[in-house]
Amino acid sequence: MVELMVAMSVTFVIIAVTLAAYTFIARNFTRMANTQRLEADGRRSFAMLNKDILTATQISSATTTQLVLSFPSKTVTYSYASGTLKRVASAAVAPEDVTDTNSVRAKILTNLTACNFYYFDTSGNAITTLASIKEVELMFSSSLSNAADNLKTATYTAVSPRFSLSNRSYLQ
Amino acid sequence: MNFRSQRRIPKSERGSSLLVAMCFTLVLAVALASYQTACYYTLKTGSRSLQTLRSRQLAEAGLEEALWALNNRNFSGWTIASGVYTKSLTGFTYESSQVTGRINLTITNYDDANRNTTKPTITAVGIIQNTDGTSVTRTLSAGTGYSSTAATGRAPILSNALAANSTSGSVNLTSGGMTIDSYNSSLGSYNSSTNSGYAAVVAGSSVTLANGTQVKGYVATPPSSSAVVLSTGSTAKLTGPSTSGTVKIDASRESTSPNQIVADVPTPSGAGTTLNEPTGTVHLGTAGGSTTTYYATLGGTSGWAGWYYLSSGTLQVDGPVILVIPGNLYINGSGSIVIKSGGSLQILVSGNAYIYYNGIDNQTHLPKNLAIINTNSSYVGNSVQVWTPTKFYGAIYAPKADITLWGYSSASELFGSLVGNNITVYPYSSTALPLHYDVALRDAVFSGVGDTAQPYAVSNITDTF
Repeated sequence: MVELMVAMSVTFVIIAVTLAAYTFIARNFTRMANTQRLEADGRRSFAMLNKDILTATQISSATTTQLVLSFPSKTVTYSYASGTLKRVASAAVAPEDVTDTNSVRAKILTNLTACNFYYFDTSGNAITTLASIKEVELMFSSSLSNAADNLKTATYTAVSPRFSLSNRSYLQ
Repeated sequence: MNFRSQRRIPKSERGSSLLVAMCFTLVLAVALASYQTACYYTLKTGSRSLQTLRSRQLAEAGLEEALWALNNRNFSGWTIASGVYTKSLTGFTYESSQVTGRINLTITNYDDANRNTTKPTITAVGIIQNTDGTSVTRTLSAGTGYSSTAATGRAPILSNALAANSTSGSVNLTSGGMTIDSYNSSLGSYNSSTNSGYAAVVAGSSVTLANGTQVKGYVATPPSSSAVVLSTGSTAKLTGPSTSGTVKIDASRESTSPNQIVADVPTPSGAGTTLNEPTGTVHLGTAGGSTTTYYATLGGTSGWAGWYYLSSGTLQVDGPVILVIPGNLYINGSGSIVIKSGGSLQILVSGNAYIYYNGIDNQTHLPKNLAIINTNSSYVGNSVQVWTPTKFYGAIYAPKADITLWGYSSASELFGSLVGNNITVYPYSSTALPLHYDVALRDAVFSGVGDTAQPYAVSNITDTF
């Protein structure tokens, strides 16, 4: 009887440890997959923002949550609200241009918990005056969770390089 | 002898532990494979991002290489066929030569015989070649000139209404009610109703606006300085087209990013015609002809050593002319320079330039047809002073000289642009001295300035990847 009890206890402990290990691995895997998705979305949005800022001729509006870029044939608005960063163009000139603000394609970053645009002049000083802005930086934090298990939640924070307005037109 | 006999496991029960171990192993293998897949894609995404960044850097380096070739007229290593210039740069390696890079360059629309009137287009392709045979390509295409609508590929050296040294120079608009605004001479004469705007930029380390001064445009100063210096209770204004009437200084019109090209202008060397101080009227250039260069002889009839002194005679400019003064210029009394229709004048002066009274009469009324350019590479011993009793149409590019402009009558008015180390403007008495910046000067090319001082500039960059 004693031997049976000992054997059962040991077996129970082994099974518990094994299950815990599997659960840990599964959670980690889910979190890692979520992180990968967040990271990929972040890279894609940075690349898109980089391209837009490089080729924009002017910044029409610049706040911490909204950036409006002017181009010769369109304007592009980046706006953050309700955990989503949208990119909406006034005209479909490039393949990535989406004019419908409700389109899924307009949502370039979702699951955001924070999102801020920062602006700098030619000397690298933080400023907000439109006439002075030469560089733009984007910082965001995102979180992808599983409703049934908060331990699977992945969080990701990224700060972009400072993208320079290479095509900025002269003050006029 | 007492010993325990070992009970043999029945054949039917053998291998159960192996099965359990295999199940555990299978689950572990699935988990590890999933991990590996996730890691692989993360690595792939990160690697592609890195290669994209590298290809962008290569493309940017390619743009610089093409600009260098254009500005130095040096196309060594380039292949030229049907007016298209191409070059390939190789030998870029990364990660112990596991990854290689190259740049393919193309220049089109370049005409070496008409460098000032054509707008070359540059295409730079940065290519990163991975060991697995895949590659990442990024293409930067760029036009030249200050904008897509510019008539020349050259960078504008007169992009501001008034521009002083952005590190230590000041713009001082002294007492009086002067107004600074803009117009476009290519659309016609200045007209406050139909041809005027808010594109005048006053740039410098500091800008002082006296009472009654109004800038219709922008003030641009470095962030370390006070953007606009005002006296107590000042009535000075800085406004834009949408500025409220109750706002004196519109903060949205203050920039901390002044932008002014500053480059030493080399004194031209080579063949030319010597020019003595005139006693009567001397005609220079030929209308419709090519540019003629004259070299002034200093200390002539006036006897002022080191000076080219116009005290009574007149230089009449009939065609495109470059006048090189290897010393100081002084126009006073009844001496003058007259630019007739069809004429244009670039004065390259290495010393002081004092232009008083009748001074220079630009009868074309186009500021781009008169450029006074200081070629002194030192901040010492050179200044530009202009006293104008009438309307002065012209531009002064003297980034290392102090410029002083006086209004000499109530009719004094300036159309053009001033670039100097420090700039001081004195309106005539309390009468306003309007200053109208000509935005067409952003399109002006001055052949006397040379390629290095007015280089090609890229604009309208497009990015494809």
